[in-house]
Amino acid sequence: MVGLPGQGMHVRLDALSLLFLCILGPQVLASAVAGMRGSVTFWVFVLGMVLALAAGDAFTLIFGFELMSAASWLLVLQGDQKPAAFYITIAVFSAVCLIPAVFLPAGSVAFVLIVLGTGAKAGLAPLHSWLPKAHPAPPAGVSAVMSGGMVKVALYVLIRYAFMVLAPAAQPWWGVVLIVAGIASVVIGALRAMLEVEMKTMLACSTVEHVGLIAVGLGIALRAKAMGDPALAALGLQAALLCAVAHALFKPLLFLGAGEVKHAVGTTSLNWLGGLMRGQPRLGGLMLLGAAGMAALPLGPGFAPEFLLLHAVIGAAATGGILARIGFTAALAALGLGAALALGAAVRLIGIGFLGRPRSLHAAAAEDGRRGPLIGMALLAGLMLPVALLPSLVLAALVPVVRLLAPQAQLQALAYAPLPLVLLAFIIAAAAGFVLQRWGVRGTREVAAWNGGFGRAPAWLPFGDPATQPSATGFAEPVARAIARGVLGRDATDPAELYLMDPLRLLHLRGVRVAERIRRATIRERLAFVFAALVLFLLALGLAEGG
Amino acid sequence: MTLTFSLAHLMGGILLLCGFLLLSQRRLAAMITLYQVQAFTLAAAAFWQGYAQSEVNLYLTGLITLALKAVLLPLGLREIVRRFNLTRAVETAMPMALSMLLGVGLIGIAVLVVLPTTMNAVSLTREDLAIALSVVLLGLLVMTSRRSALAQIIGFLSTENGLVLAAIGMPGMPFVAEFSVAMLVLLAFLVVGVFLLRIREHFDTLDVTGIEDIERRGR
Amino acid sequence: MLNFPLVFVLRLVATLLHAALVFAVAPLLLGVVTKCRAWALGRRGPPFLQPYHHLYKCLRKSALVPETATELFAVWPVAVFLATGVAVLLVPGFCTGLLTAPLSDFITLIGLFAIARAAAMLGGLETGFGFGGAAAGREALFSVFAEAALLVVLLGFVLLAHSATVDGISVAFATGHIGISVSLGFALAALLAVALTETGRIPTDNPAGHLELAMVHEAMMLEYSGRFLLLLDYAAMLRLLLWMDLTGTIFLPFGMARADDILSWPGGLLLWVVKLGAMAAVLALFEVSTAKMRVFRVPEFLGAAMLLGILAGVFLFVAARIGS
Repeated sequence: MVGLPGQGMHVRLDALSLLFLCILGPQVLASAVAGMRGSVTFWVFVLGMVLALAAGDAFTLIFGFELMSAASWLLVLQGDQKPAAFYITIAVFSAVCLIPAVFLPAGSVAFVLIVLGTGAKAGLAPLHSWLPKAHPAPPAGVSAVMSGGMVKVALYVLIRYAFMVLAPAAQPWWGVVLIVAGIASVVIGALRAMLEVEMKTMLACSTVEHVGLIAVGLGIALRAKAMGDPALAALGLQAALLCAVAHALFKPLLFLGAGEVKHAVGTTSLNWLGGLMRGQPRLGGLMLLGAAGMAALPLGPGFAPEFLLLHAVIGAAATGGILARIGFTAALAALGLGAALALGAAVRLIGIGFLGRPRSLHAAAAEDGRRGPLIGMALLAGLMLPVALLPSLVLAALVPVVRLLAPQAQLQALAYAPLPLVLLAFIIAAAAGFVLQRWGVRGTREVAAWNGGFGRAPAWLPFGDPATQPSATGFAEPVARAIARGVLGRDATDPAELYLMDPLRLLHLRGVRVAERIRRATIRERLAFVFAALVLFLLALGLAEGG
Repeated sequence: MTLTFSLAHLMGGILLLCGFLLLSQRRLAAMITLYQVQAFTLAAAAFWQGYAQSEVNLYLTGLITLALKAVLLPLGLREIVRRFNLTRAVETAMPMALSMLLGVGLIGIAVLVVLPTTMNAVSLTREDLAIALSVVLLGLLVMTSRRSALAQIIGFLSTENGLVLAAIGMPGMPFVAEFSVAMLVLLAFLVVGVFLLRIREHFDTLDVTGIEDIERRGR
Repeated sequence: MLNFPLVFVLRLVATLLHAALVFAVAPLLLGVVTKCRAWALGRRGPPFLQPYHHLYKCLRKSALVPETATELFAVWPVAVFLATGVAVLLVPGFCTGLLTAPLSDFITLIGLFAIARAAAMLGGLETGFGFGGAAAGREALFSVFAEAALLVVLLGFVLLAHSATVDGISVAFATGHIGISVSLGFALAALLAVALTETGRIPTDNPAGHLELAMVHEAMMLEYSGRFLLLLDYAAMLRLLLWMDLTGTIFLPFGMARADDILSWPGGLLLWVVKLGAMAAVLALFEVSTAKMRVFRVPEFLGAAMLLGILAGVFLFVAARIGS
């Protein structure tokens, strides 16, 4: 038996573990179908995640968590060396915070360490800047599970400790910490998703945004639970958990699709794509569904969680002191910014990548995706359907989890019903279709684009001049000019990179120099060093004795 | 909630709205118009308070406001704009977004300051006080965030509107105080008008950056 | 209390009447705005029924599809039209208590606007030429502030009305003793700024503009013709009506009929027409008295709207005696 001496390892499943195992299942299956089934490291990675989710004791949890970290590091290393070094540093930091935290008594110190440890792993601001670098590096199947599954495992640990293990010592400000970090993640993640040109990096930034949304929901629930407001706690938890479910479906789908784009075109830079919908209609259709989820559009899987979350924030703004209320008002505005930016990013992904004219010959010659990945994506898209159209049913399935995390929770029915909206749209479509059929002229004629009266491109450019088409950078330029330079700085660097990572790197460099200096010391210097230490020690001893 | 209070309240809101929009305007003509709207609203508020509190003094205040601030001062300001040909956008000392964010922050501070000190007052009076203080702070912010001397004057006048708003909202404020404040403003305006002429003669511009340069060199 | 089936039938009839009216009146409303605008400028202007002629003309023309467009070219106008159409059914017009009332959550409405906007932007990017793409990028920028402003304005409404549906807010504002408050004034200013942007009117966009470089809403539908243009133009007309309905139903809720009280319908209908006419006149007067802004002034305009929304919330908190 492995495990701590005399205790062994335990596996225990409750509603929370089961929920997150269900979240993990489809994407692992889809990735396996998409071509990862031959990789041993991938399965070790999955094993680590399952172990962490099913753990019955702290040791098993940490063991699974670190197995997951190590395996994913190997997978990142296969893709790219540079982000892997950054990634392992963050993973070690996360472990250094988590391992003492799980053995500490319940209290604020343990909570802060848990938030640091899991936040670093989940990509919660300000510890998120590794995620857009590391997640795109490995093959698409691994990226999919890292973005859709691994961050969820980290959030699972956060939920397990914040709501269950540390619950007796819960304070309202714990929730505030999560809300503030979540809002920062939403704004930075969404803004960077709007600006990034690499498709996979863009998707990773969007993951940061969704982790932020989940954290805001959890924070509201945690605060409400500590303040004794069960209805709000239930609302926040529902929003966070439903968001986790939805994100685990559409994000792996998008990552698998990005992998197929890479396979077909040779690049995922949006500035070299364009018009893929023509050569890859099936892939494009599936990506469109995923993008609708990412943009949180109604009738898509992402809207119900966003709806619940916004209502939770509005509900939270009706409670507490005036500063808290003003804070929640500002948070609502920030969430609105984030939602609109996410919409812009999704439109950019589809509009620049899949619509319009090809920007390179490779994009023009792209063929539809391979069978395996398409089946995996279709599987995820199929599972998105119930989440999108019957969110009430999914919420009903989440009730045991909510009850487990907040025992007094009062659950209310969801006020958003997609099916009547579909019915209304269907009636309008039928009426409009009748009018168009009965009185309209049906013919279509294919012509050269009018383009404001500009002349046609010369014959040797079959798709027109690629330079006359707005690029991904150009599409994002208004946002970059009006918002990003104010929030992210002149060249749109991540603030976490600028204010946290760069100073740390500098500190690291200085430390290395000092260490190097000590290592290169001559024998005489080393002797002097030992001698000085001895004298200091004696001096301290003497002072302590004398005092 | 009676009509008396809610109307007075609404006028306070319009005053604050004008004060806030002053911050987001780049053109002098628009700023003067906004100031004029603000002064008209203030006059209306004074008349309304005079009617509600049945104080003749407040009618007088209203008349002075109407004649002086809503008609005469804008006329004078427009004359200056016309004479100096200042129709172009005003240089701002900080980005527009930042100054607007600061404005919201200042209003928040005003609210936070007024709230605890007047906890036992009627909620409407509290709100009115918060509005008046916000208008004063916003006027000061306009003065600091604009480079043009004329825009700074408009900020100053807007500040003064906030003070009068606070005065007419409080029952029992003596008329003399308001009258003197109004006269003070007129005097200040005259002085500044002359001062502007002098600046213009010397520097050919109303941008005070040049003066700041000289100050720095003098030290 | 009337018995249940009768109430249901009345509400159904009211809903059908509402649907028929909004879809029939929307082009006329645009005609009235255009006419008023022309009058204010001292011109005679096109006839009131011009938008109907325009729609009919589009209906009778075959559609041209650019050769660089993908298969989804026809999907986007339909999506824009359907999202706008559903949204216009959710917002109460002449009466409250429609069958669609429980669906009319404000956030759902914002979501429907987002669908219409996303589809319009994709339509602009579809053919892959400069004007559409540039306009789509600008629209993305505008939407960022518009959505945030709408959400904070909504916060104020929910706190005052204790309901998040447009219908519930309207009923609460019509019957409850909300009174005039600074918060509502700020919220109105913010909502109007967003409404002008969303409907593509001056000062953020010019519906009568002829320079492709300066257009936003129109530039995204530059390549559409025939029945596709019909759908897009009709959706734009519906959107104008929708925003007027929304403003009217929240800020001018007096005299609105109730769906289950048939005797109140004539009065409600009459007042609805009067309100729409007044709002059209005000819009026209506002448009002729302002100039279009530069594109990069619009974020400031909408940012101010968002901050006004936040201020509305702040003053609401002050009035509610919180913080003791």
